[in-house]
Amino acid sequence: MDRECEFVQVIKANEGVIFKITTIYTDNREDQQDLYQDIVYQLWKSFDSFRNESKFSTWMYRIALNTALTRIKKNKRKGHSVAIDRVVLAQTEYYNTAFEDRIKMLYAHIQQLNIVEKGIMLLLLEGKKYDEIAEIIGMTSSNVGTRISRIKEKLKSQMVK
Amino acid sequence: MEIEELQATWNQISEELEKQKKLTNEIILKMTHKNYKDKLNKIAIPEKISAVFTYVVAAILLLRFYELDTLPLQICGVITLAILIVLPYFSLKYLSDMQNLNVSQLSYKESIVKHEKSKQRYQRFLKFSVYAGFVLMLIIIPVASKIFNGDDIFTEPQGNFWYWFLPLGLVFYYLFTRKIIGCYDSNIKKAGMILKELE
Repeated sequence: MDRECEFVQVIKANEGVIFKITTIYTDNREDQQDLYQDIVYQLWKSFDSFRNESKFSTWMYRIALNTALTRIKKNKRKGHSVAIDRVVLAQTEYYNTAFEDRIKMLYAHIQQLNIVEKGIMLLLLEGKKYDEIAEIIGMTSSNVGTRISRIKEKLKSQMVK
Repeated sequence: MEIEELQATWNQISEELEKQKKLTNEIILKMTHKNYKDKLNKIAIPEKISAVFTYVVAAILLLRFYELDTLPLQICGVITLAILIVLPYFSLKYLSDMQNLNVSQLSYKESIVKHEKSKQRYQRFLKFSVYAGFVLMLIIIPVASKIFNGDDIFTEPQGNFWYWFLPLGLVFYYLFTRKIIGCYDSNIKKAGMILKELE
């Protein structure tokens, strides 16, 4: 399989992950699409440098998060609105107002986190183990553990409010 | 909504996205062949346009610098040229430093540190530009007046020009830049907080 075919397969396998990252780091559909394209472009540019020294997902999350970080545009006036069609593409079996409300609430909570916490929270929600989160973020596992506890506290206090 | 509920909602979203895959080979290959960076860097377009405009003005000034025939005019001319050349250069340089990180080599933490430091530097520079802009607004008047009208404001009487222009300019600048400076200060502070958290 040539590199292009291999890359296409990798992106297809991870398109949902990239989609979720773009939803968290942008606040409108146009920016989301631009960021999606840029992440794929950056992954392709670095694809040859991936040497199996780390897990593929670690490498991919790192590039995607770093790309998202450099493309953040603040638009405080508009605020961060998450429309259902920006999160889930089509009407789904889950689709109902309760699901939509839960999605909105989920994103509203994530948006309250700062840029460091946001990355950690995303990886936590993605089901990553502390070790892998530590490798992607560039911290020690114990530091990640401490920060996750703080994030949970922060979210809990938000939920109480 | 508890943490577990957040996780459950996230998992539901993930499941749905798995079912709704829609990227084709063609779309993916198109993304790899086209550099979308320029499209995303549209934030720098106003800076690029103003840099071109500023350099055109600087070129005109340079070509007609010989018309500034007195020392005060020449001093104003040199300062004007320096501001016109240096500010756009650093503005574009700092913007590009902020956006061009080695995304494949750095960890997320290292990227944040670099990005926030660049952001702080850029915001400080913007703050400095506001003050430099005020100086430019004052000194470009004698220079432009001499080059385009042949009038030397320093030697020829200009009525009450400096009496009303200077205070009016100060008031105008204070009113219009107060909020902007506050915004830069707040961005510098926020970036500092993130850096402190990561220390």
